[in-house]
Amino acid sequence: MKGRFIIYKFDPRKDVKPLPVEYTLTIDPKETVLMALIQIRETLDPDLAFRYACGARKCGECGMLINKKAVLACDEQVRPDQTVKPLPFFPVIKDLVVDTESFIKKTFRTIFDETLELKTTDGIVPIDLNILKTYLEPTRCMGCLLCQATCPLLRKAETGFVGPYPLLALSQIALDPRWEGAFEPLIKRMDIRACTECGMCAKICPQGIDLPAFFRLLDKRRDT
Amino acid sequence: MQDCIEKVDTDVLVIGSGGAGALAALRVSDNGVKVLVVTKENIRVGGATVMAAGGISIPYGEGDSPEIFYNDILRGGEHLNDPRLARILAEGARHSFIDLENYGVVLDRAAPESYRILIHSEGHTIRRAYMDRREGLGVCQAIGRAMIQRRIEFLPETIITRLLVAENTVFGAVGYCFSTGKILVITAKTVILSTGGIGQLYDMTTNGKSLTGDGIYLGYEAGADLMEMEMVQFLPLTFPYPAGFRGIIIGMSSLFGPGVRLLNRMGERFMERYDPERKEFVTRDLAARANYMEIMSGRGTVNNAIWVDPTRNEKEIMEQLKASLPHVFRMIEKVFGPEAANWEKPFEAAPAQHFFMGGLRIDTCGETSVKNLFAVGECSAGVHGANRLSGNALTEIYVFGSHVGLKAAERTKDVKSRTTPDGLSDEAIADLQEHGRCSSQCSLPRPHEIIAKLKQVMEKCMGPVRDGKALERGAGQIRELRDVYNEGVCLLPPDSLYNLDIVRSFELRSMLILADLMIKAASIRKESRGSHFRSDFPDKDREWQKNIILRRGHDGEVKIQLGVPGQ
Repeated sequence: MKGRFIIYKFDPRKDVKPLPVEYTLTIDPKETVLMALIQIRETLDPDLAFRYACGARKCGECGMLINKKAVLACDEQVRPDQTVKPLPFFPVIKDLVVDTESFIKKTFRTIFDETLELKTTDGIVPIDLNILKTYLEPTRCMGCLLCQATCPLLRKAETGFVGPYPLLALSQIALDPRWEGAFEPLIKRMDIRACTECGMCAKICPQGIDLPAFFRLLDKRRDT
Repeated sequence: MQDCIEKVDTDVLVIGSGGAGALAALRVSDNGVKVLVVTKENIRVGGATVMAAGGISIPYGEGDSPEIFYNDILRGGEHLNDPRLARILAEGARHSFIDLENYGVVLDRAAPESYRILIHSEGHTIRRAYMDRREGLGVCQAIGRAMIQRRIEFLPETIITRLLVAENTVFGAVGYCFSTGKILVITAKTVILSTGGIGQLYDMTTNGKSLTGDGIYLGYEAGADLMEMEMVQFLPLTFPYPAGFRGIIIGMSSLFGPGVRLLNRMGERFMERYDPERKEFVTRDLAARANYMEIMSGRGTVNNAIWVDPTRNEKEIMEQLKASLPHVFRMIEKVFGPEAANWEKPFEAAPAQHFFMGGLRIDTCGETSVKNLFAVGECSAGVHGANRLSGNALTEIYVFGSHVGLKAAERTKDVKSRTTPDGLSDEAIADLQEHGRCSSQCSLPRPHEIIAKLKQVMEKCMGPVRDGKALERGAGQIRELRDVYNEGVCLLPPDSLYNLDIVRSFELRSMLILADLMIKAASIRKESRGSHFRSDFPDKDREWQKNIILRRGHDGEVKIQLGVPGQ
């Protein structure tokens, strides 16, 4: 198959804005966009920067915007015409590489700025199997931040909504009763009720996590 | 490379941030010692840990005990293991799960007060495989956040290129942070290597792209002993194509029902030749070896694979298996189509490298033969001997991550404040700057071109079946590639920000040295044991119950020594 890729390149040291560059290559139609990018770097443009690690949709490192949709490049099949941009809302380091690490660090630091303490034990903590899913499901998150890049509320700057990822991060801790501390002010501050439950984040999540379901549980906790 | 040099000072430097490095860093931090974690990746807990899909061994089941587990580890390792390390693993396994929960992980449960121990894996005498419905991610997510909670310093997208060593003692390291384009000079009282295995030396591997053996190379160059460099584990069935799927795990034959048959290009059920009794249900080593032999002997498909034929099964079984591993079936559908995923048509699969038992030789504290230099996880050797039992890779990092972290923290407290010897980092910095300068000569090969050739050599001579002649040929080819590399490589673009060619070049340097050492060790071991199978020496030889220890001599030549396990 002939694949035409328009990739937005940007070097923050010298460019004013991202510039589209077109590449054409012959590629197996079953191949992933990640493989196309590797092929471009190896044969057409050694200067193209993008990030990946596991190549098997486990690590969440290769998130990007392909044809306007936030996806993992290792999980997206090539098509004849694709436009590739970095994930929006994060500072670009170079080309398709964005700084997600600072955002994740800031998210958890905000949470841990409250006095929170994990009860430690010397044995197995009993957990009711009926609510086990509440603990397991949010921690299936790989931190790819596709949800954050997709949330339509975040495009409206005036809402002040923190976005789906910080809320999921909070639910990983706040829904686990082994953690003690003042969650309620945190939950209030993060303004869960601003979420319209449009479900875009759940739809885009490579892990299929139903994020709004956990926001609702957090909201319940706010009132208790 | 720009001459922008940043100096960083810490107490403990952890190099590599999979589960082993992360857990070591947490333990160091909990002992009140300052720690810095550097990794080539961007996420806090990545490496092979985040890709882990299978079970985790834990002797918590009914009738199980650390003693039974210990004996299984030694039997699986065919007694090349360091028994002291195997004992630490067996005895620490139970508590390592509690430790994880105390870092904030919620482990999956079968009942309110028992972990989800479901499977009796091959090589274990009892059912002890914990299966997490989130696979590796649940643990990675929670220990990553525990690192942020403790404000552990974290430096992503950085490759360490040299350890700073004087008088057989480590003083720190030098590296290149590609997301900032800076050279880093890090001073530390102790250093923990946790860089994982060597999967990227192979064309077909289940490992991610960061697993290039960096820590093993860094330790070797610093004068540390290596051992078990010939011991490489393979899995029998992975995706052979397309490139974006190559090496991704399909699973064992048993995943495709009791009626599954493995066929070669001619349609022959070849397992009848290798093991007429168990056929497709042999251990993973034997299955990988048989599949490899068929492909290497020209009986594989055009895609260098064999056929997996599940069509003679009852459909009910398929539904059960599909429910427990939905993503595997989804990928089969993507690559081979819905008929293959519904067991109406055979599909192709090929063996791939999976785990490395070899690496840095450590004592019971995890310290290498270089003072204050520790190693933990897949880059260390001795725990698993000649072969690792399924599920023991994660148990190893859970146990040894904390164990080595504690020992390193204690050692760090004993190290008096000291000054790094003058000029120690000069050569390492010059080495990095040199890499920046040899850029953009387009007549030279780029690193990935040499890496691709190295992978082919390793597939041919260091796969699941080896023989003296192929090893000799392989050693020569690696020497030739080293000569090509030493003449210079083209590193594009001539810029230090996110220059992946510079990263690949340093990785290639490690890989060339390690490939040579692995081939050397495999040539020396003239027997078959564990994962090491020599077609010219197919039997186990009692005389060879010894570790092959490799060390870099002062003249740069490899010094070879045989050791008795555990001494």
